[in-house]
Amino acid sequence: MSSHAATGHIDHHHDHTTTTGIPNKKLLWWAFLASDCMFFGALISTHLVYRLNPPPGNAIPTQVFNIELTSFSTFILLMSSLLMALAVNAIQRGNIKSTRVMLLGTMFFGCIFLGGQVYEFAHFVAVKKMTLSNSIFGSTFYTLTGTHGTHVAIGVLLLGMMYVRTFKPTHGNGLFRNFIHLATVCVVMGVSFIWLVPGLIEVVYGVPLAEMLHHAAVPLSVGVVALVATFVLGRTSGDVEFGEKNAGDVEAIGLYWHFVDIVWIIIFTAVYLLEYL
Amino acid sequence: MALVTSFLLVLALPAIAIALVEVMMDRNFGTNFFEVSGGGQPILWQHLFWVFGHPEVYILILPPMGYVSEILPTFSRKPLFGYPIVVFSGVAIGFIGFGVWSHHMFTTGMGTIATAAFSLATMAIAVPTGVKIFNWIGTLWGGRIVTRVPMMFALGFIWMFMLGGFSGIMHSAAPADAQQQDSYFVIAHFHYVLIGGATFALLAAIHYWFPKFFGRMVPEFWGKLSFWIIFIGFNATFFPMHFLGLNGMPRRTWTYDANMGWNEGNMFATIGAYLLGIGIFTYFAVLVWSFFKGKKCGNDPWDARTLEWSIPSPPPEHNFAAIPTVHARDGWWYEKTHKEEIAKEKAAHIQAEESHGGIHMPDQSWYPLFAAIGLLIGAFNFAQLHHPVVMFGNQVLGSHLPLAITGGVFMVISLYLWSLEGPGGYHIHLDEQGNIKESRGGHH
Repeated sequence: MSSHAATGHIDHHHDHTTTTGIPNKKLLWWAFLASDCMFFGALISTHLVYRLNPPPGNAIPTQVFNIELTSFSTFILLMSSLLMALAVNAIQRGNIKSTRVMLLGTMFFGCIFLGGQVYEFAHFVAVKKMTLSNSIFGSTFYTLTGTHGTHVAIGVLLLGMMYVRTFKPTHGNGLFRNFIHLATVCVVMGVSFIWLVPGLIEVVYGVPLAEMLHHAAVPLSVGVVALVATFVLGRTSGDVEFGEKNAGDVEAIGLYWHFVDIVWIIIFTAVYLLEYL
Repeated sequence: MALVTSFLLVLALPAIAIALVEVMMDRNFGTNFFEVSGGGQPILWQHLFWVFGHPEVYILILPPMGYVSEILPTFSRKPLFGYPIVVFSGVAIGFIGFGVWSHHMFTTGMGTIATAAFSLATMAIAVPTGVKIFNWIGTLWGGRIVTRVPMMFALGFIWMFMLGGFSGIMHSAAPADAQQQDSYFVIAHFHYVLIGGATFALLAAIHYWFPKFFGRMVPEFWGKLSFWIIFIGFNATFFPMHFLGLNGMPRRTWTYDANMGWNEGNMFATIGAYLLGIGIFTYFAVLVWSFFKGKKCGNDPWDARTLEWSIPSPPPEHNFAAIPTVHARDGWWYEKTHKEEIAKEKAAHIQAEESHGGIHMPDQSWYPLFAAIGLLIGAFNFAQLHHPVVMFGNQVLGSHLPLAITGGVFMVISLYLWSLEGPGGYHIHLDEQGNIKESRGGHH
């Protein structure tokens, strides 16, 4: 696509618009999301069917859930959608710097949500003694919310790839540098949702900060190093091959992100809130 | 029809994907989705399976309906009767097809309301299918019918598919279905729609487009012979099953008492099955022979109506020398009847194409194949994760995990390299004699 801008030449062989008027990439995402609706539809149906037909000895949801924490992480995920929309808006105006900040913000909020889920799962298994196999509620709950969490994690990865993509230099390919950059971003995000956020939640619930830092010392130090490296790699000044023309790509990831957010709203309602009616 | 099928695929497959994931979780990770001792309900499997399974039968039958809608007009020397209605019926089938899955489960005790609703929806879906049948008959009506081999199979399709449809309507009445459930009557119905229907249309389509694929004709005599053997063999096999089913023979039976009164029907079906086998063998043996020795043919051996017949057989890699403007539904028929206008237009198109740097062709890439092989290795080994790897009777590895990871890594690396390849490609230039010159580089 870059060469179009360079030569001012419009090549009809590379027309990216389908006969529907929707660009190919976006149509692909829409088709995928339609498919994913059925995917989550089947999982949510499974959950609801067993909710209405619980076997004796099934786990009791309200005794397991920590509704305050889940409400908080739901709010965070909603806000991440706002940041995603701002990222799309920024790139449509050609503001790359703001796009980067908003992408990082979306990823960070996504990691808080994921961290909440990591804490939740660990807490449910260790304290509430609900596992994947000891009750049907555990089976449906972990499979459904775990599948959703995987979707969020993939979304964070996609956003990370898009963030790194904004640094592609106009001259030279910079592939190796971008690869390292992506690796550092992944390490930062992984450390935050596996160790940092769950650890901080435990601190909120009364574990001393020093104990948490001691417990997760190694991963947290690796995370700090990766964070510094991410910032250093992010301080480039050369021209980049990224701009308004990539708005469609950012928007496509935005579609996915908003979809995953909407699915969570349905899951939060059907799996959590319904139990408190 | 292909578009409707694509929608059905995109929307129906996730249901079976989740059903299979749940079974996998049950088998490998101790969940209780379908495990009765843990509170699971096997009936949920049936629902998830048929939410996929019923759209799936339309996935199987809609493309054949499309083939027949191409073949019938060509050999009736008439346009397809009521084209928009045929398309609309296909879309209607696609929609209603998602609302009839429980008609496979009338005897599982869903309750009267659900049973009545699915019964009604099932009767409703017969309407667009019937509309299509009438449109095909309307296409034949008053046409100058040419009974070449593809046409014979297409006509066989209409008749056999109708018979399958009739027994389908019988199933849609839940009380009748309660009697027919799991009997040979269902086997007869199913094979009339999927062999008499889908397979007949598929055989028609293979025979019809074979000259386009390979530039050689299949001999008419041998084609017709294979048609008659298949037609007689098929009916001899499956028609008696209607009576066997109504006489109470359950499906999935490998033996029964000699005094049940099912002997003659089964013997008849067995002879028919051999005949059907001989017919299918003849059909494909003739195809293989034709691939090497068949009479060579030109662009348009059937005097057909759609644009694929305007280019050489087999088609060149670039397909169309100039992207054709579609003037009518039967585009090639229009071109054949407006030669002068089209010649002018083509020349202009070719010139425009050349001024854009020729016809753009994609490069070959090995990475999609490598990625698929990686996925196969990864998935195959992941499915049997906990079992030791045994080769020639000796245990090689404690579990399949290393092989699963190897396959996964291979897939990811292939995908990565694939994405690095970029669009690439080259351009080809045609001169007036149709000679091809390739050029690389320049602008993409």
